[in-house]
Amino acid sequence: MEIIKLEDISKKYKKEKVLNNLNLSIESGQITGIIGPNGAGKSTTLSIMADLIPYDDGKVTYRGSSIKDSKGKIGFIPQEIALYDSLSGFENLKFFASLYGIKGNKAKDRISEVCQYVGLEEKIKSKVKTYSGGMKRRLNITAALLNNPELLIMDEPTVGIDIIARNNIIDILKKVNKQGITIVFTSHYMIEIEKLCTYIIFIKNGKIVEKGKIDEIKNKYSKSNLEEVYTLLNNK
Amino acid sequence: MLSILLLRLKLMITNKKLLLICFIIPIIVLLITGKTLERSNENLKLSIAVVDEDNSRITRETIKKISKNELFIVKESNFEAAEKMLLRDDIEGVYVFKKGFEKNIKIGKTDNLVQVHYLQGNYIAPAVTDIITSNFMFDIVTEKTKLIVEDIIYKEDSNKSQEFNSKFNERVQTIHKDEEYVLPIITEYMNSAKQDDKNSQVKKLMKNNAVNIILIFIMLAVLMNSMYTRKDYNTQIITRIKMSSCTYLKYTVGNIMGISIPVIITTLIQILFIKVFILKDVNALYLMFIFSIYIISFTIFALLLVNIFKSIQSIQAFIPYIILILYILGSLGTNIRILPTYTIQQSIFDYLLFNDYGNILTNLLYQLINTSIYFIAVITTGYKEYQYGNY
Repeated sequence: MEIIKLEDISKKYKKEKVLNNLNLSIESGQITGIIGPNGAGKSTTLSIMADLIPYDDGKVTYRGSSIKDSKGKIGFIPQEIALYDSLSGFENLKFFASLYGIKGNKAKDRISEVCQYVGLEEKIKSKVKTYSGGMKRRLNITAALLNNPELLIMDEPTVGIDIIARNNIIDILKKVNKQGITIVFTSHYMIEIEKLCTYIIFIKNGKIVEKGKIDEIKNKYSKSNLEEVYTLLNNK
Repeated sequence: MLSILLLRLKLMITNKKLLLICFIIPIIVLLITGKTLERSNENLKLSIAVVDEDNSRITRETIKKISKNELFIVKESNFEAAEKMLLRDDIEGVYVFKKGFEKNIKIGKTDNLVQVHYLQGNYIAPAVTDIITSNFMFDIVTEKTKLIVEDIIYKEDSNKSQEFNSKFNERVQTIHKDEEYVLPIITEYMNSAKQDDKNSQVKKLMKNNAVNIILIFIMLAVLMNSMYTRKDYNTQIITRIKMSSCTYLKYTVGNIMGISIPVIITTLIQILFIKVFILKDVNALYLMFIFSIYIISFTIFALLLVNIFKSIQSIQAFIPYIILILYILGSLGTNIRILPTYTIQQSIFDYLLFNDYGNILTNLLYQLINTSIYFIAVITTGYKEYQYGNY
């Protein structure tokens, strides 16, 4: 069953067309990776899915209803570390929880629950500026899980961190997915996509060039890994 | 909205740089300038010595009142000690309240009451004598007045002059002969408004200086805090805010309150500091009331600047132009009466402080109009970015 569906979506920034009649649907419970070169429209697609920006044409539905009804059901993790580094991890999470109306003891319990989940309990009272890059990324993900979303949208969640921290995040995301949360994310790391995703969508110049299960796509192009498929599609 | 308010409070408390600028530096500056002005106030005072030969109720009261006057530093002593001080140039002059001072005043004899000693070539002592006589000696003043009036008005009419003299003398004699009236009249002159005016100049300067310092730091604190809200956009925190149930209106009002409340609190502490350590007679409640309204208004104005210029560097570069615009708007306001002359005129500080505490209701009304305009502008300029920004 599809959780979110984009139909004939077009989006222009000033005069430049970023998305051109884009059609895609995300299946519930899946981990979908959106890949493509820089400027392909990946981030714009994610922002439209999260109802963060308006689009010029088309229709976005969430479980068959308007995307506007999805408030609080979607978690969004931006590419930037969207945290206040002068506050502690706990203070940050408390603030983001309060935005969703989770307050008092309920907030404390939820924070403790998600922190345990991502392995951040120890340093949660320390200021974010003292965190390593990987920890900041984990906290960034934690903040999006506070409202217990059905769909988690992530824009390059592992950018700028080392391989160990990245693998750590991949493990967390697998755990999150096992809890029944659908994940859509973009990344430039094909190994990461291969490790995590069951389904990929390749976007180029605002259009979907290829989509499907990773193994099926690799077989279709007779390539042993996703990186080779990516290079092939990109040069096409 | 409450979440945003609490967030801004927390961000300010945890930001050492902001705390230093908004709270600690102003207090240090206030303390330094307050003490400096106090010292210059001391330098402006004239040192004199008084010798009370009469040691009567009136002389004691008179010396007490002169000592209380902030123009003088009065040293009471015997004549020998006073003379030594005079020779050392420690004092401007020695004022001897001669024996029989009280008795002579009561019978209306007003000449040769105080003997003045000063060094040759010192022209301050006679001037001080004038101040004392004109402000503290009712009898001498009355005599002077009589002579002046005689000299100027009735110079050419001897009959009228005679008539005036007899009536004037009758009145003065009556007052002086009545023991009950002597001291109150002298006391009354000592507390006159004219005298207060002279004394309050330095205080007014100190008060304005203190208020200006507070204002500069209010502006800095508000601008810095407002600029900090850009972090929400730069780090995409705004996406989290937007995905919650927080509307742009709630976000803006939360920001306004979250920025202004800590500044209001720190300003209150600064004003209390001024009241306790520098200017005891300052009306703290009134100042606080004005400052609070101003802080809220300036916060909205600062957020408007942030919405328009977006980056800190652009705002900093534009500050001189903002001041220029305020000046221009001020003169336009004077001419065409669109903008209040009280709020934007003469200088930025006049603008901020309702121009020397004029009619408070009118000023408040103008300030509210300005604030409403700023608020509408903030909502209009910010909504577009919040709603349609490129996330």
